[in-house]
Amino acid sequence: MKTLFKKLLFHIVVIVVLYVALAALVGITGMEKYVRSISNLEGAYGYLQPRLKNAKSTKSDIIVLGSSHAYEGVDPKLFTDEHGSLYNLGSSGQTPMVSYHLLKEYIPILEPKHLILEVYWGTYCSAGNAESCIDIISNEHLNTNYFQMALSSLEPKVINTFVSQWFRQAANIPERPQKEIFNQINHERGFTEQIGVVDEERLLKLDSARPTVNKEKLRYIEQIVELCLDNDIHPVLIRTPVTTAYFDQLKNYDEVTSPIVDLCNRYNISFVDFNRDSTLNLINENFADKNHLNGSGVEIFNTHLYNYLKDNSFF
Amino acid sequence: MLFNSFQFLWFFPLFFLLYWVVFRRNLKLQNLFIVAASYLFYGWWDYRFLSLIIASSLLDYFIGIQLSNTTAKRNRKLLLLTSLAFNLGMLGFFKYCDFFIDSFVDLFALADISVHRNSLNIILPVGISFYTFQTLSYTIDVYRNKLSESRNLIQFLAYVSFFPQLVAGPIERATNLLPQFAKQRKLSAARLTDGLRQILWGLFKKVVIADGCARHVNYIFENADATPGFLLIIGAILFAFQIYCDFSGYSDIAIGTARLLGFDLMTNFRTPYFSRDIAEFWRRWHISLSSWFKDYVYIPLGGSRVSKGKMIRNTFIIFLVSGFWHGANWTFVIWGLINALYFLPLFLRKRNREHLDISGATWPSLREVTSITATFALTCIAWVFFRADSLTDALIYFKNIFSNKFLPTFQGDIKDVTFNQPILFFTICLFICFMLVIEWKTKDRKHGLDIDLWKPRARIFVYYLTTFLIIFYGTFEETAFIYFQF
Repeated sequence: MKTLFKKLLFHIVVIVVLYVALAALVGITGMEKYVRSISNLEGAYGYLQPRLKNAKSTKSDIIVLGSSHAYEGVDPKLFTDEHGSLYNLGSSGQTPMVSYHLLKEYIPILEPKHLILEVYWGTYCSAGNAESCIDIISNEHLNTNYFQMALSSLEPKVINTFVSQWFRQAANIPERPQKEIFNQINHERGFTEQIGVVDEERLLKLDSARPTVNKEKLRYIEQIVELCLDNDIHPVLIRTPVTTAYFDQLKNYDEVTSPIVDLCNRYNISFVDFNRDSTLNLINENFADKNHLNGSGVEIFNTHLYNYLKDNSFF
Repeated sequence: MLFNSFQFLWFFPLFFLLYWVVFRRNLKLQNLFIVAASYLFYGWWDYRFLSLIIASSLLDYFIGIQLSNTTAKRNRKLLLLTSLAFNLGMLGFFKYCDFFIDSFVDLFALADISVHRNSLNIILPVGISFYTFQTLSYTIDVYRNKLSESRNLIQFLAYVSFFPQLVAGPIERATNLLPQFAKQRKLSAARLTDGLRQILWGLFKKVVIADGCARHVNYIFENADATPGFLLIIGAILFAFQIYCDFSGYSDIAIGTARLLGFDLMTNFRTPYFSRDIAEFWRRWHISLSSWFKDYVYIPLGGSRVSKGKMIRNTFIIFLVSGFWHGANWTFVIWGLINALYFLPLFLRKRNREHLDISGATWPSLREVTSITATFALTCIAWVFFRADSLTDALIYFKNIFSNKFLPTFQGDIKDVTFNQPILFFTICLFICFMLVIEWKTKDRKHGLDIDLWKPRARIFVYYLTTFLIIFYGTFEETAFIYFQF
């Protein structure tokens, strides 16, 4: 039996060495498209690459974290004047775990006083963090914070991608340039504008949904709030508006929202649900798709958000 | 808890260490530990349904004792009926209640009678079809005096809930598994190596092939209206591999895990796609279920030792029941019916036992290739019914093979089906070929990596290759095993 355990240990060591070598080879040669469990999203969705780069050379009083609803829904223009500034660090499908690690990374850089955390139900009701983590790993300079994020994801694809991308960066392989994204315009301070108007026929064909809350992800929202409070950052949780049709197809809206309300009550912080704001008069023409605002929608919504923040001493 | 989840990755090594280090010398404690861990394993999914397993186990345990205490035929029959009523009633309620309600409403609708559809939306407890059959086999065997009753509650609870095979089989007979709980287990180097190899092979089949095929199969079946005929055929073939690798992969992991704990479970799959006719296929596919139906349904009905008419009736019954066991949908019933129709001509011509041995040749002869391909094609046709959401969808799928354009375009159709990653799609086909070669080479062995007789370098190469394919081509999104839903 001893011999067997020795042999097993030997093979495990060889496999680990070979694993690192193969992952490095894939990263350095850029062969991710041939490997299912390694991905590279450099310069892909939501202009994340230039948005993260620009964030490194600025300071900001308010930072925004969250999914595409955040970076396509909050335009810093209105919030940036002589009294303060805002930077949008949202990313596609950003889960609370990814928001937590981004916040940890950017507190010392941006030195924010306030955090707007966008809590779209899809990000804390679904399982998994893979795509969201890979998006960050592909476009950030990797360090121990992101290594922790990769490990916490418990997803082999994320860990493989981290190892591969780390070697890519260590070998100083030039970054892939940012792709032009159809129907999106990249603005300053992390805002990306969606162009176009939702197809109303599609809204009629939406299937009803009944998502369930992922407790693990909810715990990360709690950790974000605690991290803010530990660093004297004032957090506010918001939910950006979606089309009425999309809102109506969710059959358990209160059920998925109540854990957020409870969490905010527990920490005595605000949660503003703009889907329940009767003074916000948005119509389908203000949306680019079932759940994302277009430029006209952002203008209307941001005025409301600005007034709310002003009334609550954000400025 | 899924075998391909991170939870299992910490659960099992911890269990393994405690099992062999702390509880090794005390059989009673070791069995108690199995019961506790099995309940944790099952309760991880939904602890409320643990009550069903416990109720079913306790009932059959006490019925077993009562059966041994009484010789009166009437009382024994009553006890057996109680067990059947409880277990099948539970299965019927949780699995088939909504199906019967919906079917009655549809039936009335055919006669233009409107009835309010009031489905109960009952959650199907994972593995209910497996463990109810396992406990039933115990009671029936005790009733038939083929097995002595168990008087050790812990051993019996461990037998019913043994976590490696609790949620998707193999459906073990009490005659094989129960006595293993009464014996001191030993861990040997050979057993450990073999268990690990079988787990590795099962994981490869599940996370590389089954999960790799899944998203393409889902796309093809969901977009059958717009998919070219050629790709619809590919979709049916890929589903055949998906379901085989998903289910046999689970069985391999279950059997390998049990081996690491000192148990021998029955073989559940013997390279079924190398079968030369449908009868052989059914001797090699989901063996634990087929043999269960044979022993507890087919033979009590008279089997083949009855008139020709009854023989045909029995064949249809066993295939239809087998189809219905898989799920509460007419698609499964039709799948069973098609297999009965495939089987019957062989049976009536007494050619159903022509291929009892596994071909020993290094490579198949041309004749074998032809019959293997024909059998595989027949199973693929039946699998379309198994995979489709409804009978109408299955029929439309076949219609579309002929009515849609046949050849796909690379820029449009192939890119859509492969999610713009044609190279990754072709790698799956390559891995299927790798699996087929390995399984052909080991077709008379216990599992794909049972390659003791190979040269050491070749063995090491295959182990490493399999490991790296799992790491770099595996899908680890905690996709449930298909057979969990049954």
